[in-house]
Amino acid sequence: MNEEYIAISIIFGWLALTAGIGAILTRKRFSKYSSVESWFVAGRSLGLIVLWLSLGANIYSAYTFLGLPGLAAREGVKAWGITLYGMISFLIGFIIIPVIWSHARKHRWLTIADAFEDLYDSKLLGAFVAITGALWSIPYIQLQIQGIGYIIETATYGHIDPLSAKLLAFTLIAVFTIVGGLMSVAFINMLQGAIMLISIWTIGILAPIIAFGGIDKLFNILSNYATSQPEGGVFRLTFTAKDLSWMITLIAVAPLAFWLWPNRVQNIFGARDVNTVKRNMVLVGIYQVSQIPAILVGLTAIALFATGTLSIPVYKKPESDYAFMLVTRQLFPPWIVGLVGAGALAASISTAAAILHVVGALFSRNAYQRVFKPKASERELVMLARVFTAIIAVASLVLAIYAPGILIYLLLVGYAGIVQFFPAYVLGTWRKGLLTKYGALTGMAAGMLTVAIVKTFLGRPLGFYEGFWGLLVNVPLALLVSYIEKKLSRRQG
Amino acid sequence: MASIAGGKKNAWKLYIILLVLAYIPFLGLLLSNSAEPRIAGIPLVWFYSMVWVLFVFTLIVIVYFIDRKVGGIIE
Repeated sequence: MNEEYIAISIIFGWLALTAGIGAILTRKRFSKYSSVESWFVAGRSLGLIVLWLSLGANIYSAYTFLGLPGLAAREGVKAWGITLYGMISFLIGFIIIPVIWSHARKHRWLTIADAFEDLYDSKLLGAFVAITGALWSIPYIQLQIQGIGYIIETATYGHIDPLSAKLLAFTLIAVFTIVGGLMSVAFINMLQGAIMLISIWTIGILAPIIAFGGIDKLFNILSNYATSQPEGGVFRLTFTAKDLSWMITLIAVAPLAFWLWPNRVQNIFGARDVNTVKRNMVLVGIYQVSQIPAILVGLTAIALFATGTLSIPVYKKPESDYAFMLVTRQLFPPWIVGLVGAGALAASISTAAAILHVVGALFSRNAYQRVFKPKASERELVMLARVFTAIIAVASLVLAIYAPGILIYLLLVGYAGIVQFFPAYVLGTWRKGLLTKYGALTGMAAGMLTVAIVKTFLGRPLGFYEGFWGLLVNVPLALLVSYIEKKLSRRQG
Repeated sequence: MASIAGGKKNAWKLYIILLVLAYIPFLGLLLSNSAEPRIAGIPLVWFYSMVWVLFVFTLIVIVYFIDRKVGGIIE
């Protein structure tokens, strides 16, 4: 059998297996819970292991398998910024998630938009969070489509062209999203999480040893490469001043957004009890440690290029995002390429499906039902959720085809937008009354607009992360508008 | 009631201390931002960054066990 058929058969065999199990579980479980609760938060029934593997597969996706090795291959030491902000996110998560979970249970919040609606007693604010949450999820879904496309291209040894690969990626995501509610997604994710962990550790540890005989030899090659890289190469073994500005603003800001992604909030709301949530913060940290071998794979890729073993220029974009799969293909037999491809593909699909699943639900429930049609039937809501999901998915596909970006930076743009929820969310929970609904709304909208302007036109001034600039505008404006609103209402009252 | 309030206050103190500890290594990064010397074949700044990641993970494990002992914000 040809090597491309071996790899791709394993990948699609694995996907068919997980989709089948997911479909069966969804059918069995649906009768157990009221349908809305089951669709949104799996009846708040997820236990420790399922929640752990599910959260892992939900959080770790194409950006861990492809984006992070890609960043390490292209820009070197900056990759540590990504791993660090992720790890700090779990520490922050340990502190704030139990509080959020407890509030959600007490007030019966099913989505993040429910939380805003309740905290500020404003359906408008809930709808705003639902819609902007969906819009900022587009780059995250786009990165999954691009990533899955890269995996398919590499695993078929170039037999499927980039456009067909992206279209196939989109189809796979659509199928998995349609399979069902969070319960099935959670169980599929559990399987994906397991294969993902095995793949990343195996390839990460073995690749530098097989290719160069050890990590010290890998860094010998990289030291030479850093001083004599081809034109356009930006690989660095040490941080520049601008890298450090980026890193400190990134690790200060991005962890605040980590637990506000609509799909992650949903996972957390789905936890059985607060101790399960706390234990998970510790256990999910193990996934974050798994980013270290992912960085090693990226370094192996650029070293293979530097020594002439790999002909594809992985120092360039978008070739750098192929680093993980290229290393696997170069150093391991096709059946390993198949298994690793299945793990990476499954992780990406499960993340995209989880986000799409949630953004559709958010729109139908918190925008359409609350603002436009309070008496909408459950059937109508589910239908509308699917239509909105399809719109977001198609928008992401169009961007993936016509405006592909570097995977890791797509992710960070999404974070920069989502973090704009943080001040209003935290102040609404802990300092109720400090921000008014219009203050919160103005601050978030202005912060998001700032992120878009900085990203599109200003190119990260002073090296600071886009999300940081957004917060600089968001917080003072939210406080100012709230102050004025309270003053006016006191005068009128 | 007083002991619950005290427990919560202690938990917050602990959380803030651990959060500060997680960010403090950034100062060390400025001093260790060099490819030499190498530790176990790994450039200094890479080794330092890796240890920082593992250090934060250790903080998470520590906070979990202390939290179990003193009681967290939410019980």
